[in-house]
Amino acid sequence: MIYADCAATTPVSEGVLEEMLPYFREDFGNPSTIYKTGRNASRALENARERIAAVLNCHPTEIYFTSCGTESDNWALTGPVMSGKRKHIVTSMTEHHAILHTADYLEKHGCTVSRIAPQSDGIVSADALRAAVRDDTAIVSLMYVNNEVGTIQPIHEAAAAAHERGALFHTDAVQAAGHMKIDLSAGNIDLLSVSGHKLHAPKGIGLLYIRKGVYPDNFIHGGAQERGRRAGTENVAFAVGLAKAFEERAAGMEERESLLLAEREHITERILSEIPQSYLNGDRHTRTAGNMNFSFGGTDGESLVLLMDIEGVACSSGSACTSGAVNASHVLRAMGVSEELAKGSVRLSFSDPVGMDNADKVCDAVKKTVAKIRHLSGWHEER
Amino acid sequence: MQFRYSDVFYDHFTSPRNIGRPTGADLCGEYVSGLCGDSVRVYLDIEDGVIKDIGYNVCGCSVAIAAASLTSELLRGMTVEQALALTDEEIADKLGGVPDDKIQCSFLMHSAIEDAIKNLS
Repeated sequence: MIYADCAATTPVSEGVLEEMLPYFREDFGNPSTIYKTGRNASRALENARERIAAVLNCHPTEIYFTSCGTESDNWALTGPVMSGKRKHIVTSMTEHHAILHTADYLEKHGCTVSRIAPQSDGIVSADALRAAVRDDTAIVSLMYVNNEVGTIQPIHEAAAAAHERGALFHTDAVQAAGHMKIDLSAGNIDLLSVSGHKLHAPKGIGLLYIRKGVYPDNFIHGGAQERGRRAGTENVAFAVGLAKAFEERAAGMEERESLLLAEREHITERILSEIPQSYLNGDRHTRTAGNMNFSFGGTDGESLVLLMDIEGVACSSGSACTSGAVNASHVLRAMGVSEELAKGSVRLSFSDPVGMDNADKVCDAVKKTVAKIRHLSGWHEER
Repeated sequence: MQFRYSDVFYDHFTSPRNIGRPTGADLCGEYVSGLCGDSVRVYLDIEDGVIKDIGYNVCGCSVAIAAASLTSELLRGMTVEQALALTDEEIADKLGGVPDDKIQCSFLMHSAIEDAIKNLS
């Protein structure tokens, strides 16, 4: 099987698993305790924080472990509006639901929200964000990399737009961490979310970077863990795993990215030239090296994914048919992709290079699957 | 919880039967779901009130495809009255069950048949 769904999740690497194991066994102690196994666990936890801070180029006290990217996003949006008088949020229409649904929730509780549409290439213009920021804006949240179409957003310009009016800036970096260099030393990002399982750490660990001097309201109450801001016994083994994953992904990142880029361009070129009425969603170049998102006229996303699986390729679609209605990808629809093409979309996402032979196998599987679905639908006869 | 489809379902989804328009199937009906956009076009050859041959084209989710295939097998040899009396529950049962929120996808083919028979003079 060729795994082409790394934007959904990634396997835990061997190195990560090895580093985690002692914290399930001999050093299983609660890091809040004072005897040896607890002290060892506490040391490992703080060491993990330091290792991650070294990769992100920030201070260890700015790293707060959470359970996942969704939790981090919830905290990043809720914390600033709860702690201050400003109650306006600016975000984009193509954010992950962890942001969009949290914004909906906060709106129900008295906040106002501006949701900015992307351009047709999936990029959210910093000028459009700037125009929406007000004097009562608490936070501007723009994802680093879009999870469906992989577009890299202008986060530094967006951060400047937020700061011009005294608002905070948050970025959901779930799809960026481990896949592109993140450097927080400039100090222009106030909050940043990461999810472990997107970079070969386990599911169940994430982090929120909170820049020194930024004080969102505490998120989980009931203990002194994470400096009292996010209570709950720390998941030491997973935090250690996340640190190892960050280090592994930072090593050889440029070489990996260059190989992924070559494979991405090869697959994109073959699909667009060999399959009629196929379209690449999102800007062709301003996207992560491992992401491709295609639409095919006369097809259906769920059927594409299931038949691709039979061909030995695991991938996903942003559109799903549930409750008798197609939930066409909110990202593609916001970009102006027609309902028909949004319905027939498929995302291929890679974390590590798979080799040109496998890249060709992916293309062959896509071609075969699209042809089969179009044969069923009588698509060729209609055109 | 994730719904588990039956082997019968997968068999019909991966190897759908009776695709396309059979020779002599002059009666045509179509149904496009206003909700999800899935569509079925059915072709029937009816002689003396009995469905002699059937074919179809379908564009939609796995349930729409599997149900269209299974329905096409069920209907061959049925009278028009028997075909019209078929229910979505019967089709879903014969597929080994479908998720509650996709039951309407299992009936797209039947709606296309109703459309075709409406055109029967």
